[in-house]
Amino acid sequence: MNMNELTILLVEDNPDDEELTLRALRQNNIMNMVDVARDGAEALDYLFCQGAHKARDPSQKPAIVMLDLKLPKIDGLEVLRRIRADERTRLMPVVILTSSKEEQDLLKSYSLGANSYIRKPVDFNQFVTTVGHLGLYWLVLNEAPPR
Amino acid sequence: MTGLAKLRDMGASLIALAPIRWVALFLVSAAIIATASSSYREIDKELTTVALLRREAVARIAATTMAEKFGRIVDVAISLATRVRFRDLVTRGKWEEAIKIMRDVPRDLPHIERLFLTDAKGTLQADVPALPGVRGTNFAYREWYQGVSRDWRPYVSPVYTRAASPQINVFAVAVPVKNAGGVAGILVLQIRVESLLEWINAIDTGRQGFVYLVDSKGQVAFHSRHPDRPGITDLSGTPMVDKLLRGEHGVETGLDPVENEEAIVAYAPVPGYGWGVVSQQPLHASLAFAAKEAQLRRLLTGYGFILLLCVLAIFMASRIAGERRRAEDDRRMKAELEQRVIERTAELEVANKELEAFSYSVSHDLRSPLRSIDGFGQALLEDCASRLDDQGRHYLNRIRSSTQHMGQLIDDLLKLSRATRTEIRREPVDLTQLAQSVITGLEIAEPDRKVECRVQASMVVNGDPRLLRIVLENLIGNAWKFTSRTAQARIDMASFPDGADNRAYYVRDNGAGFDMAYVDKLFGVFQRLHTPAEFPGTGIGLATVQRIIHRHGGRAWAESEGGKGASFYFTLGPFSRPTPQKEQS
Repeated sequence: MNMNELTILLVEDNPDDEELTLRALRQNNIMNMVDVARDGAEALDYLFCQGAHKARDPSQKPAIVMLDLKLPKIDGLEVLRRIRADERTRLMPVVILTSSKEEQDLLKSYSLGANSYIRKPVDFNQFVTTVGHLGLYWLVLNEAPPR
Repeated sequence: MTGLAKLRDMGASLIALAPIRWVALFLVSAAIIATASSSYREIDKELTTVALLRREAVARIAATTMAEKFGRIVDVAISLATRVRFRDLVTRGKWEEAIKIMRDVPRDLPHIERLFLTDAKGTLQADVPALPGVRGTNFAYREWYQGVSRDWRPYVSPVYTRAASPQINVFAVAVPVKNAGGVAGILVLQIRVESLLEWINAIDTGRQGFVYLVDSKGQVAFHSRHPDRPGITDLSGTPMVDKLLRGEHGVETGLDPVENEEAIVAYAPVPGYGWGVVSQQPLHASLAFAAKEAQLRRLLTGYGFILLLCVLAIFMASRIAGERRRAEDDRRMKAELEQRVIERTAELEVANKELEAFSYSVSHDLRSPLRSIDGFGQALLEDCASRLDDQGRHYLNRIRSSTQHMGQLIDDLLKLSRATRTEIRREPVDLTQLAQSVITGLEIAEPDRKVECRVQASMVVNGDPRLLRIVLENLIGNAWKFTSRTAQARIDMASFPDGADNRAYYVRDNGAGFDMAYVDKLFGVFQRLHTPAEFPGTGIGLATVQRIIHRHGGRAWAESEGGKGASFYFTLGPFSRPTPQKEQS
């Protein structure tokens, strides 16, 4: 499978952050398809091919979910909990990408089975670097769980 | 509130009303006094009865004695009157001869003053000892004649004063001298009242007691206290004498108007003679009464003691109730305080939750727009560089550095707030190791800096490792920062004894230092003693340090000599000595 065929699901409600994240990915030459869900409910619809995403091919699973914690409707932690609770998405790599460095958020995220926790730096250059590392690691270096 | 608790509260409030004590005291006192007075009356009555009975017994004995004495005299008179020869002589009118037979009688019976004979009409015919001029005198007016002539039976007369000299008080015993034809004459024995003296004296009348005789006319025949009183006192008409004359007996107490004293007076009739005996004793002299008084005194003393004990008991009980009430109040107050503490704690927890939410919001929401500003600024620089001149690029860079500074400010504020609200978890912390790790981090971040760092070995304290790391990051970070313009920069960290069993720690540098005039401002939030151009910073670090140190129960202070470096000291409070680690296998 071509690395570039792997899809990234970005769950992000802030359009600025969405655009900057996409920009950072491009700057790191990560040309994979990025699907964006703008709240927790949409993310779940996407992942479980339901609601607005009913038509989506269930076999097309994202290689990685970049999940913000503070989301409208269903928050990131709840999304994570449901991902881990469902047989279809149980092993899916989930990276928490958030502004919060609160201990509580860290603890809860890891407890619920987050694979990684990245705090978005204010400095955009640092952010680009971080996203680069992230893409390189999860899309190239990391062996994904068997489908 | 349950019914029981309500009752208890009611009881408590009742006890709280002081008058209940007095009501109880009053009731108990009333009960005791009632019992005391009833037994007082009972015993008084009983003992009075005893005393009265004793007095009455005296009266009865006296009356019996008198009856016996009268009986004997009457017997004597009858035996004289029934002598055959005497009767014969009287019947035949031989008065002189008849009286001669009696000549020796007054000598043999000393009570008998005189003895005379009258005919059936009461005219004196003969007497012994003989008195001149009385023979032929009719005495039918005398009581003795009226008494004996009523039914011709032996008769004891009331007292009267003798007509002839010596006019002494006497009474007469008259017996009829009867023959076959009827009454031939009357034998009269005249008896001196004084003779009663020895009879009465034979009776024990008790201490200061006395007896007087009342004759059938209600006159005082004899008074043992005043045996020599002349004249005859007539007491007829007084209620007691009336009763006596009616043959009643009894006993009374009251004021004796004659003797002018409270007395027990008992009276008894002399059976068969119409006389009476009165036995009297002053109340104060009665032994039975004295005994009674003593008994009653003892009784009253006893009850007095009981009353005293009750008062004492009630006093003690009310004291105990008071104590209990105070204890209850204390308990309630404590419970209220505890409740208040719980409420305050809950409020604080709510406030803390809000603060956390706020911090979270700050952490997340404040940083996002900053990231956008920085990100799009960067994008502008990258994508539109050709359309920007140097001035535009300069402005954009200024914008970006400001956003980064604000990001740092937010991070530092979060650290400060976390230092305030996180719970302190004390555990042994190796400050030496911690300091070295901080220094290593600084050396990695700025590999070009050459700073000589010396850290005292094995400084182990008891504290919160995460918070203490923040302290050292700030203090050593400051030292690192403020020595950036110093040639041969040096940072020392060490400790020294502070007080009996505590230690103070310090971080010392040879950097820019600060003006001691502003030392008070040093630990305040947003207080900076240097311009950002000289040394960058947010002015939050030392405030955070101080807050962490305070939360450990310690204190922080600083010293400096401008241009010659600064020393920052801190202690970690009374619990900072690490507990000896148990050897673990």
